[in-house]
Order: sequence, then C-alpha cells, then structure tokens
Amino acid sequence: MKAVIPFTTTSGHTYFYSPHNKQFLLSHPLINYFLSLSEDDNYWDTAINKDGQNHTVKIPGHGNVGRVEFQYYLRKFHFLKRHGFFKPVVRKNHEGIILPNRIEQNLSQTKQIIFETTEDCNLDCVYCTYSKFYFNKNRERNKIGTGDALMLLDLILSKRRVNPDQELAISFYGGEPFKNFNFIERIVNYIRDHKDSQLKVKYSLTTNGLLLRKYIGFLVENDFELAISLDGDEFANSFRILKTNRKPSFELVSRNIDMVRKKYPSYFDRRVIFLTVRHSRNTLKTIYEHFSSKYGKTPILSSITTTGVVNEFQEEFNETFLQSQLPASDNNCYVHELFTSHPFVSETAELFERYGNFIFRKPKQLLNPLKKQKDSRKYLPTATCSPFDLRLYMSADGGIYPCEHISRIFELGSVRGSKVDIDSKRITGTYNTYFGKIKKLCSQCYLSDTCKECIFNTGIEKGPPVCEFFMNKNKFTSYLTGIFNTLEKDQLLFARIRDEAFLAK
Amino acid sequence: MKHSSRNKHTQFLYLEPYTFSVVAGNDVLIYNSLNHKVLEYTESPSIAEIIRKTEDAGGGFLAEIDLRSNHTELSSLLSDLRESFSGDVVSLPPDNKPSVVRPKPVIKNYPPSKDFPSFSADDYLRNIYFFLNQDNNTLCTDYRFAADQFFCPVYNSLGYKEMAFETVFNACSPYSGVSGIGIDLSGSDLTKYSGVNEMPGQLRKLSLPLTFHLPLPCDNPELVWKLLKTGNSRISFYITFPDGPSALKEIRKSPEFIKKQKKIDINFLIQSLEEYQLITELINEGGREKTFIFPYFNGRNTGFFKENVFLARNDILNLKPTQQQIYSRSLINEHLFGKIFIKPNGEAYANLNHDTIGNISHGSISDLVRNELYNGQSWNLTRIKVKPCGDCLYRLFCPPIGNYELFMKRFNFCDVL
Repeated sequence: MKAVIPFTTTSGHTYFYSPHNKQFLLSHPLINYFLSLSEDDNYWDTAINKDGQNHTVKIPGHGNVGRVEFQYYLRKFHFLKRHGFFKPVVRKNHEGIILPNRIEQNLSQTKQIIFETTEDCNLDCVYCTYSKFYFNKNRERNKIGTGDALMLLDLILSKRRVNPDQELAISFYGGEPFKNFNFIERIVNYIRDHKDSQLKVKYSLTTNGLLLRKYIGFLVENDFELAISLDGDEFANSFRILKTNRKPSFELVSRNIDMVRKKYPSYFDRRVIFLTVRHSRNTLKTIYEHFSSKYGKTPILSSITTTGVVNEFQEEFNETFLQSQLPASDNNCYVHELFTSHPFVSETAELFERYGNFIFRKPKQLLNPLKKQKDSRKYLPTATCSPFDLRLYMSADGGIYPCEHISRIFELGSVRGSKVDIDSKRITGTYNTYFGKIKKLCSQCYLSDTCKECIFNTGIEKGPPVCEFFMNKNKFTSYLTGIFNTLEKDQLLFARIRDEAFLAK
Repeated sequence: MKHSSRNKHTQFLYLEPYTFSVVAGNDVLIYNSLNHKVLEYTESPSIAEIIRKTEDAGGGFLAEIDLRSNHTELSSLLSDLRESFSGDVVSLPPDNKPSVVRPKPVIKNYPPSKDFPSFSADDYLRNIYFFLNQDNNTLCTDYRFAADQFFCPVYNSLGYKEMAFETVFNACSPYSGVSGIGIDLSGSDLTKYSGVNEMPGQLRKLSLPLTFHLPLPCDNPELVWKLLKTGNSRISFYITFPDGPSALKEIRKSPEFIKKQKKIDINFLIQSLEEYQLITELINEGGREKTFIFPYFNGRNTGFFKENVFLARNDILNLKPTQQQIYSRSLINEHLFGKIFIKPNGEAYANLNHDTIGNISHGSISDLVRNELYNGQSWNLTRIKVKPCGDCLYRLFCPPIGNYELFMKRFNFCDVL
C-alpha cells in the first residue's frame, strides 16, 4: 500500500501528498502531527480528544497550540480523512509480461528504425562508450550491410499497416554516419522508389558535425532532422577530440554549423537541434549561454553513461566526468531559460503529470475518468519500452536491439548473411525473465508511476538488479521535499510548469 | 509556518486545491468540490480582489490579508472558508512563502502541433455518424431541424440522397478494432438504403460498436432485426407524433423486439407538455429497452422550453459538479467532443450547427479530425468562450453547451442572466 506522504521543507513549511486523491496540500503542522499518530481508535478517543479539551497542547516539533486551533485542525483532519485524503492506495501490480504476438504487433507499427550506419568515427571522444572506460567490444570499422538493412526494411514495411496518421522515422546513427554516406543515400532513394504512397517517412541523422559541409545539401533536400552533438563552448567541448591529430574539434564543427545557418537559415531554424552531454566541463549556465547566444536554441541534455564502466577505471571516470565536481547551485541555474530542457523542470512536470490529478494525457481521459476502483491491470515492471514499439536499432554488425542506448550484450536478433532472425518467443522470454527478477523491487517503489529505469541498465545480466531510481517511502519523502524546496524559492515556477510545460511543441 | 495565528508575520490566504473560484466584476463564488459548499459574495470589491490574488501565479497563489483590520467582509470570508474547509490562512514572513500547488487542468500536447509526428485521430474520435440516405418525406419536413438539436436520423433534404457504402467502409476501416470509437448509421429510412444488404457483412469486419438509428414507423422491420445481428450493435428508434406511438406499440409486440430489448433505445421527440403526457404511458408500458425524451424546438414552443428545459439558479447550484467535471468543462465540450457527422453527399461536420469541416469524398476521417482540432468551432466550445456564460458566476456548474443552445443561438438556458 502507498500511504499518504507528509513532508516539511527546509523553510519549515508542511505539506502532504495524498496518493489516493492525487493532490499536494499545504497543511498545518497539526495535520501532519495527527497523521503521525497511531490509527488506534482508543488512542483517538482518549488522548487526542482529551488534548482537545486542554487550554494549550504541546505538539512535538511545533510548540504549543491553542485549544481552538487544535480543535479546528482536528475537524479538518477528519474532513480530509472522510474525503479519502489519507486512504492508502494499493500498489500497482507489476506482474505484467510481454506476449510474442506483441513483438509482431510492435514491428508492424514501430515508429522509428535506427541504422548504425558505421562504427567508424572521425572523433575520439574521451567519454565515448567505445573508450577505455566502458566494457565494450573493440570498435571495429564495420559498415552496415546495405543488403541486410534493406532486407530488414522490407520486412518491416511488409508488416506495416499503413495509417496516414503515423509517420515512420528512419534515423542514421554512428559512429559518424557521414562516414558511410552511400548507405544513407541508398536508403533514402530506396524508400522514395518503393514506398507505399500513403506511407509517410521522415528522416533524421545524428552527427558530430565534422562532415556537414559536404553533405548538408542532401539533408536539406530530404528535410532531415539534423541532430548535432555539441557540448557547449570550446572548453565544454574539449572531450570531443579529432581522431587524426587529437586536437579539439570545436573550431571545425562551429564553422560548419555557422555555414549551415548562413546558407540554409530556415532549415537551420526548423530542423537543426543540438545534443549536449552534461559532464564536468560544462554547466547549465555555460550550456545555456553558449547555445542561446550563438544559435538562439536550447539543446537536448543528456547525462554521461554511467553504466558499463570498467571497475579499473571507475575512479578516473568519476573524477574526469561526473557532475558532482560542480557546485550544486548550477542545478537550479537558468531554469526559466532552459525550461523544459532543464532537468528540474522536466522532472517536476513529470511528477505533476503522474502524481497530480490535473494533467491529462489525452482529451478522452476527461470524458472517461479512470474510476477509483481497484486497478486490476498488470503493469510491466520498470519503464522499459515494449520491444520495437517505439524503435528498432540495427547495429553496423547486423545486431538488432530495442534502442541505441543499451549495451551490445543485449542483442535481441540479427540480420546477417541475408537472414533475418527475430524470434518473438526468445525475445519475450528474455524480457519476461528479466521482469521476473525486478518486479518485486518495482512493487515497493514509490516512484514507479514516473519510472525512468530501463531494465537493461540495472545490471540484470549479472545478478540481482540495481535500480538507481528506486524510492522507498523515506526516499520519496526526501524527493518531494527537494522539489518543494526549489518551488518555494521560485514562486513563479510551479505555475509556469503547469501552464507551459505541457503545450505542444 | 503558522496557520491562522496572529503575530508579527504577514497573513496570507489560500484556497485548497479542491476549491474553485469565479470572480465576475465584484461578485465572487467559491465552490468546494468535496462537500459542495457554495460561498457567494456580491458587490464586494475587497473580497473579489483577495480571491483574484489566490489565483494569481505572480503572488504564488497567496493573497496577503490584514487580520488586524476590522473588516467584517474579510472576517466573514475567512470564517466561511475555514468552516467549510475550502481555504486557510498562513502566517509567515513575506520572504518565506510556501509553494501552493494550485491545480489548473491541462491536456498535454493539446491541441497537437500541426507537424506532430504521431498524430492519431483515435485519440480524439468518439463517434462517427453517417446519414446514409435522406428524403424529403413527411418526417423529414416536420422535424427538419431535429438533427440540429439532438442526434436524430432525419434532416430536411431536397430530394432523395444516398451515400455509397464503400465510402463508409473506407472511411472507418483505419479505426477497425480501436476501442472507444463507435459508428452510428442513420437515415430517413435505412431499410430503403441500396447498400443495406451488403452492410452487415462489411460492418462486421470493422469490429466497432454500431448503432443503427431509424424512425418509426418502419416499413421493413425484418431488415431491422437483421441489422441488429451485426456484431456489437444497437438499434435506436425515433418516435414522433402522430404515427410514432402506434408504430411503437406494434413493434413492441414482435418476438425479436422482446428478445433484444436490452439492445434497443427508444427516443421520443416531443413538442409540448401534452405530448409529454401522452408518452408517459408508452414509457411505463416499456420493458428493458432504454428510453430518452428529446424536446423538439419548432420555433413556436418557446414557452414549453422555458418551462421544462431552462434551469433556475437553484437547479444550477444543485448540479454539484465534481472536480473532474469542472476540469473537463473548462477545456473541452463533453457533449460535442469527438463526434463527426457525415451527410449523404460526404459533407462532414463536428456539429450540424457549425460550418463544415470538410468532405469525406476528398479526404480521410483523420483530415476531418485535424480540421476540427485546428480550425473547428465545436469540440472546444466551453462556456467561458460564449456570452453571457463567460461572465456568469455560475459557469462552473452548468452542463456543457449543447445543440439546443447552438440551434436557438442562446446560451443561457436559465434565469440567471
């Protein structure tokens, strides 16, 4: 059962969160005091009611309270109790499993196919997942097999139920995808020549920007969404070094970006985004200042990958890259400017979306509100995507994965030697075995409604899973306290999140 | 933080998250959605000002008040709010304010961005109503405005018109098996529709809930029972005077009707109190079928409407909406949302009282949904957007705007404004 969560911020304000009513209430300390007391009826009949007759009552941690005030909040407490505020809710049932037919269904309506065009790269980023810091096979110079990729594409398109509302995104990833430009061109031409007239396809590509000058015309012509990896200013970008001479890449990349902006201003505004990895050489301040002043954009932020680090280099990894080296004040810096790109805003918006009762995901939710009756659905543990529902990733060596962010040890299938191997039973077997190992943890977690954990990042292949986001009641209380500490300091922030964070982009 | 105690600190008033307020000029209404307590203050600029501040993000949804003043209105507001548990007062230094989570309903990504990659009409659609055929028969002439007031299978038409069944099937097939979407098939007489025989087989393939709407009397009841055997389907009969009641009595005797009562709706169209009295007996004679009464505005029976359809202030206050209903009504029109009506010539409407949103012959249902979402007048028509409701203190309570109001071009079906 998930119980009501009383919490007190560092400024001394008391609140409680009601999981049953999905509301956050500013509360009098007496309410939280009553909440802390035993549920025993005798206790209430005797001690509390007796207290209410006294002239003043001493409340631990709060001081003396007058009789009138005490009696008022006692009545208010009972009012709130009557209306379900303190009713615990049954935790979600995490016994869900994936059935093989789901894999087929997902393949037929996947939203994105990502090709690792090549493993080859012209940069040698210090924090690359192919660097010495990570467990990974040595980077080969593998280029994706065009025939194999087309075979996979044909398979997916043949299964696809054409729905004019659903676009299929085809994305090119690397290594540096431009190092195998012929493949990109071939796929785009193939789609143009073979696709069903009702199938809508859009393209995207993630690049380090070094070869932009050569290929930008093709991207513009085919309206690619172009994601450029750039960590900020020159110092921030200094982990991204050229493979040939170990020199920083910043200058070259910046020049190329400036060229794109000058030559294709409308395309740049509309279709170019930046991807920034947060690490010890950039701060939210420097990131915001660089991108807003130079390009009038805010980047999409991500954290450095902390899973799969080799023990031998863990200490060096922590010292070199981790944000803990930065002052804590940076975390709340430029919160309004970065807004939904800011980690605090995105996290708080998600909290209110899942834990508040006023953010609706679809209009139909307003017409058929979920009844407060017992939810008998079986949910999948963690936030792991249903395989291939959102995307399918084909690596340069022909491996098939649920996405580009997980370790190569989790290959789900393959396309090699003109043979596609996607065994739905085997895939669901793997997932369900993993889910079986973690479901107990999920069912105890207070944060399970906003879970961010992917089963493949929990070390599940090695032994008992470890979830970095797991929260028991105490941790969740601290988490809410932290969020409200920040909201209290910035009185406009809650309303801005409420009013602006959920607007369509 | 101290609640409601007088000391050197500043006092701030706030409303609880389950409490709603409306300020209209100097009038204030506060509604507690848990215990349904209504607090009303008229012609009170000071209270109006305070309540406005409790909704003001700039002040953190906290209204500074001066408890030392001998302001009777303020004292009465505080006392009312606290006694009904609708709000409270905190006493604290002005630079140490709490964070009041004042909810305001939001639909995420709504309306969707025009180039939203995963736009899906399924997320919005509820019912697609097809008028498969239309005639200028007596029913269509006498009740020619019925479809503008409530869903009714007939509207005035110049000559016989029909929609090809292929059009219906092609329009609906992308939504085959999608839950939450229903197909409504109607016409001046479905039994005369040329595609009626091929319909059941094709409709079964859609795996969608179906409702067939037909006026009574009906020439070929056998065909009606055949339609009712089409998958997950219902029949909705429309009864008008003078011929409807006897036709209803007749059809109720048939074994198929008796067997399928739970899948049948009876809709009575009435124009006067006399007709209402006449149908009472028919309703009482009914079995397990569902019955609905639709007052029909014919342009001459305003008195009947004022007497029986309009709401008095007390009726409105007794509606006691839930928090969810208030949220819903502030964002979308619960009655009209998700519905598309398509006439035999393919012209489509989100509401028959509004402009067309396209033609199914030139596009898909998805195009119609997009058009209504981006340019439409119906699905998002809330009371706040129309006069005089937008200025009314009681707008939180009223049901969403319906077809009657749109047809009669009058939104205040009440004695308030």
